[in-house]
Amino acid sequence: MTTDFEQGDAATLTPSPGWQLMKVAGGVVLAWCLAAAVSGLLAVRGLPADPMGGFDAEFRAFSVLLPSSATVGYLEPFESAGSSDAVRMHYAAQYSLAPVVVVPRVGPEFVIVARGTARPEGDPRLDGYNEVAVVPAGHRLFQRVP
Amino acid sequence: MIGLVAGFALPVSAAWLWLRAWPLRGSPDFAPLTAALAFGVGVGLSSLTPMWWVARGLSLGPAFVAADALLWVSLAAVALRRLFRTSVPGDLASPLDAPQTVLRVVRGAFALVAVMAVGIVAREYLAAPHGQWDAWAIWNQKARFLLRGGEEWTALLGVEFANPSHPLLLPAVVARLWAYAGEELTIAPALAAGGFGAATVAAVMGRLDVRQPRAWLAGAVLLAPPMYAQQIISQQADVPVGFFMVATLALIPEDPLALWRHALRAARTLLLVGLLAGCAAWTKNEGMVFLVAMALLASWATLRHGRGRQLLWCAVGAAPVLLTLLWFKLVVSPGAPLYLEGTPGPVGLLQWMFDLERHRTVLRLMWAPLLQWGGPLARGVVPVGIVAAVVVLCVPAARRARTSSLAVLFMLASYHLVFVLSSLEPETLVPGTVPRLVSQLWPALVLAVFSGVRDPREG
Repeated sequence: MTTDFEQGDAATLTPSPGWQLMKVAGGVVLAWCLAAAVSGLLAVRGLPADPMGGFDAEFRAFSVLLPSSATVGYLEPFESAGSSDAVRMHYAAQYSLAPVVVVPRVGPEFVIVARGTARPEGDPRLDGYNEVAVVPAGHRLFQRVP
Repeated sequence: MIGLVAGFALPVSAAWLWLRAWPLRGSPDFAPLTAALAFGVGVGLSSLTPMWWVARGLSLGPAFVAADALLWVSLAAVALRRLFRTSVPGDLASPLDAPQTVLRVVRGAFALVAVMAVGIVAREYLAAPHGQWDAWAIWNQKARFLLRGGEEWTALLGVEFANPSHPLLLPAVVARLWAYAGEELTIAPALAAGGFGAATVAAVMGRLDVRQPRAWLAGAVLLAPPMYAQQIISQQADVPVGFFMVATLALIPEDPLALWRHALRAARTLLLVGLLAGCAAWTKNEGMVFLVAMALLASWATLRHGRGRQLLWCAVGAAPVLLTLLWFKLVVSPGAPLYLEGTPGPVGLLQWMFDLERHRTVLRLMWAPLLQWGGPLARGVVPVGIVAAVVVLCVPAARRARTSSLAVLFMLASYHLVFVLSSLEPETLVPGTVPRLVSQLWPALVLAVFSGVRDPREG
């Protein structure tokens, strides 16, 4: 077996060029690691708060009014239904109210109307439903008229 | 909070005691690797108890916690009894001791990088305690179904956007921790996420031997890309599945012949390979591809040395997890994942598979996120890593480190093939998926590259 260290007393071993090269390469890699980590830390300094915690608490207020296992409707926004914010709001309602299943349509016994999703002048999609609850954040719960 | 800590500590401690009582002597079972394996085995197996419990129509209440705790305490007692009765040899001596100055410098740099990664993780958690999009849309939401739903937990299958066919290891782990805590603390999934991140670092470094500078260098490289630190705390399943992959790879010795010299050691190693690869499959669908890769590798390694019967240990290790997975996939939620729904029949799939234009499109779409992955000052690390892994595969001097390189390249090729065969528009599917897939493979890629870095004195 070859060795890249010169033979002799362990305390006086002289590093070979191969070892020196590895040290230099390792030093470069370590410097990159430190720089990348610092840049990452700086990038997350001003991270805005995620709204999911707020949404979760807002929709949770409906849980006492809903059957523990049910399919509940969710009124799609009358405009920008496919936008990221609209999708997030629907998913937030689902996340908050599990194990209730929140489907993006009208028809089930209960329908959740998140703030800003119904037409302000009155939404025909909610014909046959009565408002049964509203939370301070503006989300409303509708129930089918018997 | 005490309940939460107990929920973590019981299975991990029991697994750690078992690994100490029946060590993988001769394998590089250094302390960090043992700790990582204990985390994987403990957390992986502890995901099964809540599933079996809710499958019987029971709620994850105090009765579950009592029964679950009793199980882990009993298992720990068995291992403790053996530890007291027998003397367990210590870790193997390192083949070479690195110069202390070099080791100190590399350790110091690793510590700095690790502190900054922890800073990123903490900041991300404070900003988004419920995790990133898929965390609350899929993983933590399913955990809520398991915890709150009782016998109605299968209602989660009605949430189409949450990919009902996704395996449930992570939701089960989180639901179990919430059951122990007695409330749905956001810190529970965050702790699980952080645990998987830490265990990943420990697995990579333990495998590379922390008495060698390359282990600390690999740890620093693993944590340096800010996107990886962000993925750790995203509370999604990509870092966990990546952990199970790299922990499985870390178990495979560089010299397979040494393994076969001790039948019991080989059996234990193969048992753990089966268990951890099975946990990867129980975490994400991508893990199933990895399980297939490991099954092929184990078959090749055993059959070529005339040890075909040892494969049985692999199957025994994977059995509890795979039976649960099969029950879920075939009975509870049969159906293809969203990205494979609506695919044409076998003939159409074959046409897609040999359609060069589809391959070209997917490769082009994969390239940009592969290049961008890493975050500020870390872009380009993945292509560099892949090239290095290919070099490790080709250079005879590094031939003993081929397993991880082969696994990474096999997984990349599999992801590419799934993109080609998916019915979803590649323009939509590929750019959004590749960054998460890279996070799964990043630890294995780092392990592959640094396994090929030899101390010049080793010859």
